Amino acid sequence: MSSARPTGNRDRSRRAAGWAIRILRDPAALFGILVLLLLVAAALFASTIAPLDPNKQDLGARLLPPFYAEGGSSEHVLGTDQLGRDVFSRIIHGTRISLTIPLVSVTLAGIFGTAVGLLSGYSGGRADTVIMRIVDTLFSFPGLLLALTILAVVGPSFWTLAIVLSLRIWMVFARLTRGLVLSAREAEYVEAAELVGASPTRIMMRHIAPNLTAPLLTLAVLESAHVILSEAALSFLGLGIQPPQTSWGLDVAIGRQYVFSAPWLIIFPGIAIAVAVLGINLLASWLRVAADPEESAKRFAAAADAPTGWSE
Amino acid sequence: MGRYLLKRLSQAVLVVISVMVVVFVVTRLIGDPVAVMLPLEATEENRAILEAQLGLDRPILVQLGHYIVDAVQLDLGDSLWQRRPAIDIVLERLPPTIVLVVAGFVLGVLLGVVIGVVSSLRPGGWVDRAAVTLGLLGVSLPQFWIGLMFIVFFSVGLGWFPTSGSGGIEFLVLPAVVLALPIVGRIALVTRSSMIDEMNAQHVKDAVARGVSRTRIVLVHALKGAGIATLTIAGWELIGALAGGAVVVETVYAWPGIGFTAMQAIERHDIILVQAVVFVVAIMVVTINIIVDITYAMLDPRVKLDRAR
Repeated sequence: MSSARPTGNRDRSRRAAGWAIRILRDPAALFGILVLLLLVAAALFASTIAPLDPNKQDLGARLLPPFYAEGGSSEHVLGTDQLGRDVFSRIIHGTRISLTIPLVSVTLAGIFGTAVGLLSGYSGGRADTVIMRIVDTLFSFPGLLLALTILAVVGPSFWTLAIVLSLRIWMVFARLTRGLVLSAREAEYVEAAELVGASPTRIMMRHIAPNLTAPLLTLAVLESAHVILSEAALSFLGLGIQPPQTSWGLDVAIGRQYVFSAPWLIIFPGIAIAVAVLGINLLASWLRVAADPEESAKRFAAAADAPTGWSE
Repeated sequence: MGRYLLKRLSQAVLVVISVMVVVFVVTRLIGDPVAVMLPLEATEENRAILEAQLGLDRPILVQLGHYIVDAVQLDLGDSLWQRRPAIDIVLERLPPTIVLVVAGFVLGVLLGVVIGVVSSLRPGGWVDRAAVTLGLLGVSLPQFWIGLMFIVFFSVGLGWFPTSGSGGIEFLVLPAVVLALPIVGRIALVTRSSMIDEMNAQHVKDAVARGVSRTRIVLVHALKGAGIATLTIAGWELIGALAGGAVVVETVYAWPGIGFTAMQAIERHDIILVQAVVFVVAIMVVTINIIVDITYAMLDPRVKLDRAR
């Protein structure tokens, strides 16, 4: 838990150095951070890193194998697809979707869910009961299937996808926030603040909110991994990202027709998804341990035992 | 118990109705069902005919009322694609999905619990590290991709299993394993984590002090406590497999269940059939939730059914 009080610069930099050392000492967390940095770099500088335009067709160079296979060349390191587009360049550009979709969805879900959780936990009583009943009901919705239906009717696009995915996860944030608010309200310093007549807004912002930061951030990282998998699955099923945009899941769907003759079309985008999700999961599991001393005993603790009721 | 069950049942009905209302609102208000169903070259006249046929020319609340009353009587309309009651199609395609989901779920939970318990015996040891890595891979690898990779390796490369379709048990192996993978991962991680907690709990320490054998402590005392955490996750996993995993896995392996049917219906713009699938899955999901809650209460003496929620 981060402390509520602002600390001096020296203190802060010392603490930052402490965290950096802890990450360096944990190979799993280090892997996670490196993967994330790599993804962010690839997304930001996609046009510079990618050797070719991801949508540039070259019908003379269709279905070329990767560099290691016979007939492969260093010009197309990971081969080309059925339209002669460079697989490696498409993967680099696919990073943008794989990062922006979770960023948008998790931010929307996080803000909305946290607000609902604060309201529910702080007001208590009837409002709390009603809100939590609604949240429970939404948890019982048939997740991916309902998302598919909505996307099929409304029409898939970047924004519908981002919103549908955030609709599936905001409840997780609401539940966590409510639980944290309830336990924080029990704390003596909150009771004391109430006694001296601090306003509810002040209590919320000054005394309760600081307790929420670390757990909510950890949850946000974990949910990002879920969202990447969901986006990939929906794009694979044809109801997510649409051409000419590129997405790893979409590329696997395209390559599916050539699974026997050109397996590299599905192998590499799939590896990209797996590495990204694994890295983020490792980071989330480390964050959780790092933020909670009790968990430190179980160093490799579960990354994913906060289920949202769906799996892809 | 009876009162509790009644309460849970009414909640379940409420959930199913809210799912129906959401689907209704999305299909009728946000989307345009007629535009989705008709070919591009359709005329205004075609449109009016289809609207009248589907009752879409009536006021929206009347439509919603009819829709729910009909759904209660299991009348979900005729599939536009197959021109027969949508519910019949869903019920025909349900058994393969149940076979697949049960096979994947049982496999996933069994393997997950075994891996979780074994890895918790020596936290930090190499077995534990391998198990945790495996668990993390299970939850990180995209199912549709693993499914395709299995086809490449086991069906095409080694020729052990058919690539897709249905028939004998050999058709079930790959889809069930793919469906099980994330379940194995999450169940193993959760079981491991709660086993470690249990081994440090007072009642287990007391048992150790009493001289109870190690095998008995792990398999009886600790596992009983850890089982409750595992059960909660297992319920979620079953629901996830039914409402999510099955759609993906059935599509990859052309397994003729309701998930594959839903995708076929979406491709053919058959909104009625998609709605029927969602309806049936919603009913199954709330049923699983009730069963999990009851089992949970029976296992954990601290939970009193009448006071729960």
